[in-house]
Amino acid sequence: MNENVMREVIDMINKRIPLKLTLLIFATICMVLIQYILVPGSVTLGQFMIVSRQASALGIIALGQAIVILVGGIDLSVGSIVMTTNLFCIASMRGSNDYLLYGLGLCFLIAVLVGFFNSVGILYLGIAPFVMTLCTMTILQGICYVYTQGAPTGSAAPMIRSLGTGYFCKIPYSTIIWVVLAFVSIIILKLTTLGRKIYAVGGNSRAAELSGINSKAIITFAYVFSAILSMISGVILSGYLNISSLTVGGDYVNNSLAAVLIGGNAISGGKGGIIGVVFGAFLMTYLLAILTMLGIGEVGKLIVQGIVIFTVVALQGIRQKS
Amino acid sequence: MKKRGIKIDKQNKGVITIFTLLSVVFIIMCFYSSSFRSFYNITNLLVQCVPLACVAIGQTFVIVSGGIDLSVGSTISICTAIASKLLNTDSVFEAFIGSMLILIMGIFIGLINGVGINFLNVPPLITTLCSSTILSGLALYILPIAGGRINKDFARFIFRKWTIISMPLIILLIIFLIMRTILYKTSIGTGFYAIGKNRQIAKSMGVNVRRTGIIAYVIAGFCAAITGLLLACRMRVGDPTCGVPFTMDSITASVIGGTSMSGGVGLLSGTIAGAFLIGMLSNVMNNLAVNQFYQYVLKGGLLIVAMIVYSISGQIERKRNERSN
Repeated sequence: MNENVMREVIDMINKRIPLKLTLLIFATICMVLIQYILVPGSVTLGQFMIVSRQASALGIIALGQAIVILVGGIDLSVGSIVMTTNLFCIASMRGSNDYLLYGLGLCFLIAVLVGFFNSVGILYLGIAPFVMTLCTMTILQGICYVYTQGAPTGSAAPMIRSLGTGYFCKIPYSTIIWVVLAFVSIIILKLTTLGRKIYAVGGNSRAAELSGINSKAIITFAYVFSAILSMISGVILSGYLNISSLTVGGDYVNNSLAAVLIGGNAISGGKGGIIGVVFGAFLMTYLLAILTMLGIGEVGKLIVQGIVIFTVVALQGIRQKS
Repeated sequence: MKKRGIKIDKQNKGVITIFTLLSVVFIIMCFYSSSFRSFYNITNLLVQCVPLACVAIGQTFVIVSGGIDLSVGSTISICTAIASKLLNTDSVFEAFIGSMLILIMGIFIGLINGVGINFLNVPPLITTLCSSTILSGLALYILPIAGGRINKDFARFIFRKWTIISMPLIILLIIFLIMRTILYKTSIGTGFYAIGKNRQIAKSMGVNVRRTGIIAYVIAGFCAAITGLLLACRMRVGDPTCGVPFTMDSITASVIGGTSMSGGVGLLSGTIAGAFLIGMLSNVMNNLAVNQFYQYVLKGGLLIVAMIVYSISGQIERKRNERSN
């Protein structure tokens, strides 16, 4: 796995766009050093794996968010899709493998519907992406509250549970799923015409349209893809938590934006890649983990999140100008 | 100048629609439910809507100038949190000074947002999302759980009632008149519409784009601080999360009132009508004993429906113009 990542990295260096990645790798090493100095003896492979498992939920969401941002949109509904999936997955499985496929199918259907709902609002009704997804977010929250009456119940199917908590050769399953999905996204973006079209639409949607690209289909794909990835992340989280919670989706909007932007993707669309986002998600989770180790609570995390996102975007703007 | 007069006429149509809708819902409910038409409920309803109307006025300034402010909710939260510390005195004078400090802080928050957006060129969405996150963190740091105390006499003064007229309504009226003057009667107000329509053209016409943009966010922060104070005086405690729904609601109120999300179009009277419509609908739902969680669905749906209606009517208008040309 790591070798593959390294090979990708080396390939990228060969293609002479290494600055971003070298910076990201440098940042990771710096953070490991900081952790080593501040909390001696906590730097182990096991701890890294635990961080990667925590990062996987965020990382998977960030992949979808990255594609939406690449086509020039933004998806604020990811957090509530995670929450909805968590709720319906657990409620429909009732703690038994018999209902596994039924539960997964239901969640998939919800995700696809939400993705289409977002894209219809944005493309055909001309509503700005963030307003549309903000509405979707509120509506989904409302549906969850009405469905559960504020008190969710149930438990996950054993298979989902092992997916969320199990290990394969000391690597958590969820990390493997994350890496596989990241590779799928890389292949889509770099090796297929769909990927080229995504970059084209994000760079200049009008020019893309004029050169014969069905930009509406591409944007719809991006939102549906993002919704499906959020759903996958919701299923993994359900397995990890084994309960449904009405607050599970809380931080994912901010954190996924942070991950995508740290990864070097431009907020205005059309620029960026997936590897950066994978690093971004890992770095963000790692940062929050270090803060937890140092005993800094929720308050500090919120402040750090805000400052990190803002600084990254401000720096991007300054670099663009120069 | 003449052209702007025509535009406002067109906008007025939206405002008239929303006022008609407001009165239709009001009259139907008055016939339908006896508890709704009770004097107590109606005075209460008017007071309830004031905080939202107030923050929505600020939001309208930002949206008209082509931005968005997602940090108003957290600004409200942090203002109530600080109010519960600063206004926790026995002297009314100190409470008054404390509330002035809170208003200054609201202005300061708006200034930071404005500088981030206009000088560092970070998109409004990202800047205000970040400041929202940071402010909600700070609010939780200042006041981990709802608590504290607000000076009783000060709070009573702010929420004083004379039959149907109450102090919050007077405050809202004063703010409305001041903001109205700024938006319609001064050159800065024209500047808001200009930069909302097209920043480049506004700049070449001699509008100080950056200064105007910053002032819009300052006004939004100021209005949010007033809302925070009103809420704190109403609850008489501070609550570090009480502002959360206001972000979405203030956007909804502006949009329902005919403010265009793409900037450059919008009137304050429409926004206030929108805020009262939202407040009245939640009151109606409580009155009809609808599950309160449906209000989330209602608010999201309301925003989408309003945007659809305005986008369709805009398209029809454009087609009509094309045909007449």
